[in-house]
Amino acid sequence: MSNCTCGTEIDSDRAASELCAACLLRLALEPRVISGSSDEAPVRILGPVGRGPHGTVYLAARPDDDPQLVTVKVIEAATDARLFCQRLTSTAVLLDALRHPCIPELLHVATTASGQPYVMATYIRGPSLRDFIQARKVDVADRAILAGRLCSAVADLHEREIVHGSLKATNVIVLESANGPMPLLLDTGIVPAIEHGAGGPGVTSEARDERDLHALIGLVLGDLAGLVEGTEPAAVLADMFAPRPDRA
Amino acid sequence: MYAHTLPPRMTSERGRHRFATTRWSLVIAAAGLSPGSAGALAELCEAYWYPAYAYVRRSGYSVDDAADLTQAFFTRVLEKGFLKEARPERGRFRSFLLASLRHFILNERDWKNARKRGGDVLHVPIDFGEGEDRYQREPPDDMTPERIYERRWTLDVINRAITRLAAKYTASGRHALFVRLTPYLTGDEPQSYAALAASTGSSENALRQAVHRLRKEFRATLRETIAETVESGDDVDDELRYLLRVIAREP
Repeated sequence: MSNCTCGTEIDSDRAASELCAACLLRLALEPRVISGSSDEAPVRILGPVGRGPHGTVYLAARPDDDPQLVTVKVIEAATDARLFCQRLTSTAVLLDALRHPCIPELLHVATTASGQPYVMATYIRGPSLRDFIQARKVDVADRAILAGRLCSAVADLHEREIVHGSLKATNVIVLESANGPMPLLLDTGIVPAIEHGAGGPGVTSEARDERDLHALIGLVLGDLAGLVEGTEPAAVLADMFAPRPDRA
Repeated sequence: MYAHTLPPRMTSERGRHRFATTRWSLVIAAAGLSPGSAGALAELCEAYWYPAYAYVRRSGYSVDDAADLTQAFFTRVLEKGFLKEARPERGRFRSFLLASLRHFILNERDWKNARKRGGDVLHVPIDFGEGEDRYQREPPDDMTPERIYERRWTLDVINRAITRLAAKYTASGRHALFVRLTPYLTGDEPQSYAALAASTGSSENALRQAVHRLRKEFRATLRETIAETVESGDDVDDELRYLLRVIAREP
């Protein structure tokens, strides 16, 4: 049995193709043009750039006189489009007011012509947190900066009762700046909005906060501190901050 | 006198396609009674017999009984007047076939009567040997008959579309290109375009254009294949989303 480019095993009972059934079906659902907000021209879909458990992300071009590229995430998970848009639009308004340097705003939340909800955001090119750490020798100081900025961003979200809902290393893009590496949280609020539209079990905001906090601990201790299963966190932290000649 | 105003939907771009004929809409409009619609129904049955066979096998019937029952079922479906009686679940050929099959299995008398008839009806040519080979390759899990039917239906729709598109590329001498470019359809690059260009002697730009064209053609072919099984072209997106959920439920 071979694997699709998305990692899924391909059923042996298939006509020749190296892609799995879900990827092929998504291709046929791929929108060609997405409406902009009420006062904007539609954007042209250029092609898929990523897939996740809840939908497909496309790179899209805004009207010709605007060089800005955007991403359009089309939600394929089962959810009520109206409730999803209602919930995520509230989140988008709060994010716009927050203007946090680590949390990109959502440009537009709506449904495609065929009724699927989608989220438009500014396209940010950069490595994910995991790629950033694996590809470069990120020193302890930069790891600490990243951890601090991530914690501060999540704290600011929770202060405004916004739950991220999908904190993971692939949802964090890292940009280099004069002030050290800057983590940007993608997909803020999308999973809670999907769950809201799916009429999921009533989860208290405390429980949702807790879910973000567990994920954040995973990012800080797992991805940034390099904690592997079976290692004592204290030992990792002690190693991270142990004085070494090269850190003097 | 009343002034008639067409609802906006009827005058829109979308409205113009509203009554476009699909193979399934042709079948149900004529209730399978006209020669054209009877032939269209037979073609659909021929294309999608395996999900029905897998359903019967997963319901616990032996190889021989399942073959017998499946053949009798399709004989019954192709009989004149069957579609007129079978009113529910007609919007999709997929759900029509499953609902009819469930009903048929529950009514053993129908099954036995159908076995006795057969001279004046169309038959679906079914290779049960091939069907059983396929069934033996099904994952040995606890999938219900309904789940196996829907999963196999989805895969057969995709296979039908890929086979059609591959045949088109083969006919124009581009089969190798089809095979090499399909992994690039989703936007992933299993091998960089530069490396692919070096190994094929094409330019990177030409390959990107070819992938773009292939993506458009695949999209159109799969949508056409699905459109054959639904009542209206407007239902294709809904059906695609349904099939995607069927596949997404897989363990």
